[in-house]
Amino acid sequence: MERTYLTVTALNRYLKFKFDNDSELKNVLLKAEISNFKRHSRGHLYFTLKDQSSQISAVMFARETQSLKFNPTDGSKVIIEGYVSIYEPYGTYQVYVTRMVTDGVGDLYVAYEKLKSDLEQQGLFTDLHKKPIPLYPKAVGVITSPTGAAVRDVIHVIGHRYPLTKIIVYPALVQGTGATSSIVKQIEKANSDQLVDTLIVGRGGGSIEDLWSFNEESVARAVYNSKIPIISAVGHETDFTIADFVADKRAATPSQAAELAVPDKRALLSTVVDLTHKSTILFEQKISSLKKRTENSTKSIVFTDPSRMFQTKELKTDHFIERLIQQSPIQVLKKNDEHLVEFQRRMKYAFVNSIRAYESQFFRQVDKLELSNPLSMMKKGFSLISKDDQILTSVDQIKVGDLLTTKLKDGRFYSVVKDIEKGEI
Amino acid sequence: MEEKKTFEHALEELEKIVKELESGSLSLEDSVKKYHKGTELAAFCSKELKRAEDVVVKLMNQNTLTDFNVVDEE
Repeated sequence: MERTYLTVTALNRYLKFKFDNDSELKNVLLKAEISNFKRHSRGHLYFTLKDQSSQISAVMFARETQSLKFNPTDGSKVIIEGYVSIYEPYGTYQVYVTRMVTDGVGDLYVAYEKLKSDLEQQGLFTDLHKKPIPLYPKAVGVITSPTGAAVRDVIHVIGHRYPLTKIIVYPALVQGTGATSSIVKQIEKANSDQLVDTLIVGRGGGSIEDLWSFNEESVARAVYNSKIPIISAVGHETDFTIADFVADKRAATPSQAAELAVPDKRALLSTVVDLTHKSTILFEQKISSLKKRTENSTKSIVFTDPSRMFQTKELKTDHFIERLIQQSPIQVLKKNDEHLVEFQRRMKYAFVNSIRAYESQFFRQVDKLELSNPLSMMKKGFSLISKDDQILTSVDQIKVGDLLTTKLKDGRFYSVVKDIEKGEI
Repeated sequence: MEEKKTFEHALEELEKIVKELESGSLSLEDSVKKYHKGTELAAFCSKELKRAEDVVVKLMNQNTLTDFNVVDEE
């Protein structure tokens, strides 16, 4: 019978396959103590998990360590969740840790989650119940240990930002036995004293156990019932305590709580300066606009050249006066005089003209007369014949035998009619 | 100034005055009054802010307030 020989690699691969497909090993929950703890430079944690009689290697990769809520060290009692697998190159098996909490705290987490969901359902976290934080508190109450860094930080920050406010420290135990009731008592005391406008309730950072009071229901209820707005300040950047959820405002640290509690003096000063500046500008604008309106009015001719206002009236008056003067008796007379003179002149002119016309007419008549003057006719050879001093104009006036007188230009002669012929000459 | 004013009220009033001046509907007399009041308030606010150098800290101890001195744990 021929034997089959495996390579080491094949064996380890087979074992790894077996481990990885075992449902029990896929999800292992362990309670153990840490030893040989090493933190690799790349962030992976290597350690041994042990109890009184046995041990097993364990690794926690860097990406899983982000969920750690504590700093594991040798001797830490822990509860871990993970899986068991083979590391092929070495043929070693180990626990790959996906989640690790300190033992005993596991129960706290359960309690925390339960309380959180209970209070959330009861509406303690809703924004509806959150009171606004006064902008300019006259006094700020601080419920914390009177000896810790927290109270010092709050005083320091408030002193720098807004020394106008007063700080009243309500000393409280913030860790260990009695801390919960101490915090509750001081919240209630501050509410009955009514000396402060805002409360800061908190403490500096610490382990989950240290902070535990702030996860207690009675503290949560006291925060919720407070008439004074509360800023929670439990020094833990990443985690929220129950008190944080109930508080009107949550600060990550006491210093931050102090910043949220009071305004910044420098910002306020610059606001005051801005407002002063703004009001000065607005006031100057107001004045200058009124000035402009005044100027617009004073620039009117009424003020710049008052005489002009009367000019038209003066013109009118002058006109009237003129008309009045014209109507004065003297003027009327004068005017009449003028009229008379003019009339006389015109009459004279007309008269002269007519005289001249008559004259020329006369001379024309004279000329005509001259033409018809018998004497002048006689000068041309015509003669004037008369009978018994009667000028003859027709042959009918005479008969044969009549004695006629013929006048020529230079004398007369007498003749007897011998014959008479009537008809055209 | 009238009764003892708080910084907060002074600042609020100053803001109100600036708004009123902004509206431009004030008479000259009112403008002068408000502006004057505004400068007073601003001076008061600045003075108040500069006045308090040290914050007053008290300890509530058995129903009595006592002066509080910070004690470092370190």
